Amino acid sequence: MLTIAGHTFRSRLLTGSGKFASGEAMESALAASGSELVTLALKRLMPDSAHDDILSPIVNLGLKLLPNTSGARNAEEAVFAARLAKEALRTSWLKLEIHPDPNYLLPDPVETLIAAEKLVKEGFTVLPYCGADPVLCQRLTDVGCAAVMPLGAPIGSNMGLKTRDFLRIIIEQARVPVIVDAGIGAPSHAAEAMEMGADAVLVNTAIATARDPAEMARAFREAVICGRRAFNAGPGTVSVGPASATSPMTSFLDAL
Amino acid sequence: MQISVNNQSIQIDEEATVAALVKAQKSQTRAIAVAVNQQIVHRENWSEHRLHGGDVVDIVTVVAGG
Repeated sequence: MLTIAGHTFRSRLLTGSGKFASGEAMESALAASGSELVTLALKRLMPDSAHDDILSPIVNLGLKLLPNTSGARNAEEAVFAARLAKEALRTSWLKLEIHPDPNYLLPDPVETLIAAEKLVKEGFTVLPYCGADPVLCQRLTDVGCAAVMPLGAPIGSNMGLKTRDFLRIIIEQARVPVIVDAGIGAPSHAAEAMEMGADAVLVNTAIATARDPAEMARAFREAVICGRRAFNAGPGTVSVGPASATSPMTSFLDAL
Repeated sequence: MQISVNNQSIQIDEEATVAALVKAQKSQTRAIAVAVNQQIVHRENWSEHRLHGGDVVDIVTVVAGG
């Protein structure tokens, strides 16, 4: 069981609601994923513009909402976005994300830490998207974040765990759940993160842009369970050098 | 009087309330948040909160996102 800020989840797969071709595709994929926590974004309401009803399918599935602050370029904007999200969705849970760089969407560590501290003091349950920086993850934990969400690779890149060596350190030092976010492009990447001891992963693009999103969601669901099972089982040590026999090295063939 | 709504200048009636402004957006969703001059106006206060000329209003809703 995954526990974040006293709330228990059976699934260790968090999902995003972005980039799906249709509301139906999103709903079937979210259902197949087994995910219980789903991210959403905020947008300015334009008069008379038709907005897809993103919320109903998610609420119908009984999933917990995790609004994000995507679009915020600094701490001040993120705090404002957080307050709007809380008002719109009546939840104090928040995926804090501040990425001023439009090319790589990499999170700004300084603004994220400033905003996290302020939002925790306001009573938000803050889950910050951050670089795979062990020191920053400690600082975010110190100011009261409920989890940390270090990136595996840039958002939407599907590149996998490019930061794996630093994720290992973050997991080793963690005092709050570690949710590997961004860059997970295949179930094998998710399984790798879970085998390393990550508490959860967040996947969006890899599911939403698959040819069959619901089937891919199912694959991620199983990979996350599989990876966690392997972590719990305690993987054997990796050794470089001479082989280590798994069968008895008898010399019975000599007798023939 | 003139106010700004989501960075666009619009004319509204004197004494108009936040509730009237939200209704005029003709939105289907209930997941809406309103801020006037960067201060959140809670849903339960929309019908009492009167707008003033020059107010800067943000109205946001929820969309898909990762």
